[in-house]
Amino acid sequence: MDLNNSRPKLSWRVFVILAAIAVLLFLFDATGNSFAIVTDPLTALMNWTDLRRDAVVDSITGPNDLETALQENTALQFRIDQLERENEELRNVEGEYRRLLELYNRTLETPDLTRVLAYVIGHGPNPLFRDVIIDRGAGDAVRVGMAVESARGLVGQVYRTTQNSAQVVLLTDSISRVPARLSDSRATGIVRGGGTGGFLIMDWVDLETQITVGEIVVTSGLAGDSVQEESADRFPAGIVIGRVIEVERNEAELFQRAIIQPAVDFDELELAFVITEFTPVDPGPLDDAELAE
Amino acid sequence: MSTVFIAIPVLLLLTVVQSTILAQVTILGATPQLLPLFVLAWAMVRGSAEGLIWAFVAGLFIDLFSVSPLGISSLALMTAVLLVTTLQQNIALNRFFIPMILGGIGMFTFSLVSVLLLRLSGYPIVWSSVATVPVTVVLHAFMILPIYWIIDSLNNRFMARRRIPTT
Repeated sequence: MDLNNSRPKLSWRVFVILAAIAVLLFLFDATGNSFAIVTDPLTALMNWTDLRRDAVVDSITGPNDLETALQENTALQFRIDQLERENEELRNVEGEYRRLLELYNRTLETPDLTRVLAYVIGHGPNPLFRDVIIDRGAGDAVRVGMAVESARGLVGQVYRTTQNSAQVVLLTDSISRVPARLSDSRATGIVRGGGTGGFLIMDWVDLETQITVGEIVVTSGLAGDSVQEESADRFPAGIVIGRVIEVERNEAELFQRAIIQPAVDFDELELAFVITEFTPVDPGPLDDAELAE
Repeated sequence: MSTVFIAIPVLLLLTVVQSTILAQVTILGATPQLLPLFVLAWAMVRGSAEGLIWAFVAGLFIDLFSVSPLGISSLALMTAVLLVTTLQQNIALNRFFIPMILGGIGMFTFSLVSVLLLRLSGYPIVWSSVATVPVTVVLHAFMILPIYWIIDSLNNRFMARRRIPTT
């Protein structure tokens, strides 16, 4: 196939054909069909690359004077390198241990939740979205809509799954919606992403509620919007989302909003839990007064 | 053999690098986007027909590994390639800064069409995401130069040379 001497007409034809295929794929994807046949084999490759990422980054950003130092005192430097490497490995192990300990403590705090431990193996290549790829998928009982948390708090929600990987929409993404509650005032609202500077926004908080800066925001456990229509009511109650840093209040409006600093540092996220099972909040029977309304 | 057949493994490799390494790198608030850069440079060197196919495949990979609806990035990238190669017909590419300008235009088109298509399909794209577009365009205009030179030299050495219009 020689495309080098193609005429402009051919380009337009190619464009129209490929655009039609792209639209068909969009429709196919919108109906919830999976492209696991393409993504599954790549997950293994991503895993492999992710494991070596630190080594690549270290080799790029590492000290430049290593070669000179080696020439000056090769044997001694070799020993120092060896010790530094060991030290680095020990630090990594310690860091890993701390992260696992935090996660373990988190599981002790909430033994009623069933979780699957997952490693973050990549980030979505489209910078318009805030999402990560984890190494657990449908084969590990991970389903679309399940909540994902770290030791510090809520991370996001599973958006797509394949057999051995899943895409997780982070809380900070503009399509994220989480039913939430203020820990002190007990007022409810919806926390959404898309705030400037990576902050979250809690909407629909009753104007009569007195929100204080520094107040903790947690998941309410109530049903609400979800990133995927077929997966509402997937957040257990009581998972920390973040802390109120600013309150936007206008007396002319019915509701106020709060700006929230997320509890999780999404840039440092390496390990997370997918909550596969939990007991949903039971709102209880309506009393007579509510029924009368 | 057409280079179309090497598009899939090359773009897959670039997707993995983008997802695992580059996704966390930010320069002046913008994240380098290897796939659009590579596709635009490829289209400038090899022509619109090949560029469109590379754009289609790269767009699919971008969407498969992000939460973006499938097909959106393909459409956006194909539009960018079509615009860049059409502009290129009337420009002599042997000038130093032309690939830079075309790369910038291509990235701007890709970003703009992506945002428009996402808005049309109901995705709430926020202003903060769009605010990085000018930085992204400038950054990628510079970043495309080494990629363009590498692809161009590979093209001259290993592949049939494409006739470049000089008028």
